[in-house]
Amino acid sequence: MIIINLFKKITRRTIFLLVAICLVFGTIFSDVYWVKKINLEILKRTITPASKQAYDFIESIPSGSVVLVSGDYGPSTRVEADPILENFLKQCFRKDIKVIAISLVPDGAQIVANKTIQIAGMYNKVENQDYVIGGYVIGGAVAIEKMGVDLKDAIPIISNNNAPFLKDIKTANDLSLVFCIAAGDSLVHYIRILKSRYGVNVSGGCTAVMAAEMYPYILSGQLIGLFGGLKGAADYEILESNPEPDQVSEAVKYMLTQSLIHGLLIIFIIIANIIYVYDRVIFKKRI
Amino acid sequence: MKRELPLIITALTGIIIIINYFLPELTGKITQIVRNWVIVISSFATILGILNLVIISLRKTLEPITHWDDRIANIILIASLILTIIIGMIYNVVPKKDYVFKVLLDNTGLIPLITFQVAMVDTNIFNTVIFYSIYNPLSAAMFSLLAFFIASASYRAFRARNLEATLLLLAASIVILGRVPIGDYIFGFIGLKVSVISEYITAVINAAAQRAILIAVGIGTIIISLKLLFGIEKAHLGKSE
Repeated sequence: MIIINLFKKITRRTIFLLVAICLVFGTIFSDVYWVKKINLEILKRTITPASKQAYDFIESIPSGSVVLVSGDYGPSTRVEADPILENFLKQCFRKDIKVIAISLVPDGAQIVANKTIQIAGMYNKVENQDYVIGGYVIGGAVAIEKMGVDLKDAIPIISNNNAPFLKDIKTANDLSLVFCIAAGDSLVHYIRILKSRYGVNVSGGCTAVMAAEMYPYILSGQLIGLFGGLKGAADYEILESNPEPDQVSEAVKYMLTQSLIHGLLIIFIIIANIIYVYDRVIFKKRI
Repeated sequence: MKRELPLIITALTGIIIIINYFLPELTGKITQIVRNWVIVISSFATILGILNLVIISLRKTLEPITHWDDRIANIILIASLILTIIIGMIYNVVPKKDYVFKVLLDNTGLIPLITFQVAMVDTNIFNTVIFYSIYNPLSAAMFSLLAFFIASASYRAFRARNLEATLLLLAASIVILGRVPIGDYIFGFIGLKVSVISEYITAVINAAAQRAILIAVGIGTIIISLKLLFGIEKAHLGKSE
């Protein structure tokens, strides 16, 4: 009875405060060695099949091939999307795959350009030789449709680029893969237009809330695997780098914060249902 | 003619795009022109949106009945817009790579050491100040509020009121726990792999429901498109005078 009354005193402020404590605690302790070790051990055992499928496909692309990466996300979803982009670029540059980096959203252009330059620098790759930056591509679904007919017409910045690997690229069909990291509906557009109509290989990553919507496309083979949310990003980091606990970067580290928040959500759900069932039983007894 | 002309344009454009899907050789060039028009129009729509925003904000700022805090918010909005446009036009958005001298704190040893490093970073003022120092944290902060609201909403909404609600509650709880290492860590002691059950729910049960929704949405879209093409649906033309 005392516990139930205590539960009933939980207000919105209490919930907000507990969430904030979990966030701060998770952020501080995410860098502790044994926390990273436990996280890493569990994550290595639970790699999502969709992540493995996407990774294996990219791994099978021969060196020298050209891929297009479309980072269609803004700063609000960087925590989830940035590690996916980073690991994709690492995998491409490690395998000497040529990259065309674009964004279909205005605030994604800077992020994609900076990340590409940063990762390329780690692998000693040269702009306009190993990769090109296409910037912001206006038009959304219409621009994707144009890529199927004339890639350089769809991405104006690369139309006058003299990069040797762009010589043989006329349409999206000449690309080995289109990899879209989406926080909106662009991944669906890529699948519906480039894959369904032009038969281009499409893979990608998305925020966790969008991942559930993508499964029909994965099962039908229209989408080659998927890195969904922070879990997908952590999967990608493990598959690409197989890091030791002291080498892990953001995606694996932030899983502690996400674990704590998810654990807290479950505790709240249990408490809410205990109160609900208790009230219903009492109410029925009084009747 | 005021209503008929847009209807004819809609029908013609739609029919051209549909024909292009089946016979690309026949309507390839005209479809290319239509696609370019769409991109040009969407660029103009952005300008129209900015103008609209400025006009509304100015009107709100100048209206005597507007509260002072609303007035300040509108002034900040207009000033930020103008400042961003000016700095963007002067400095461009292309990353400007430059070598900078960095002072770093090395925490790896027993005693923290100060180290120096020459690193190549982006020194474009638009990117570093406007985008990464102002827009980036503000946008992330807005989105991160979701964590607080979702926690509060799940506490109030997830109740086992009936069978359907209980099933939803169970499925959501399993997926919530299955997507993070803590789920397998807690239930690992009794040999239960929550991540596997979570993956089954997402890849099988969820996919079946999603597919049904997608097919229904697809059929609905075809019907709406046909109604638009044949001029039955006129909502996009606005109210008739």
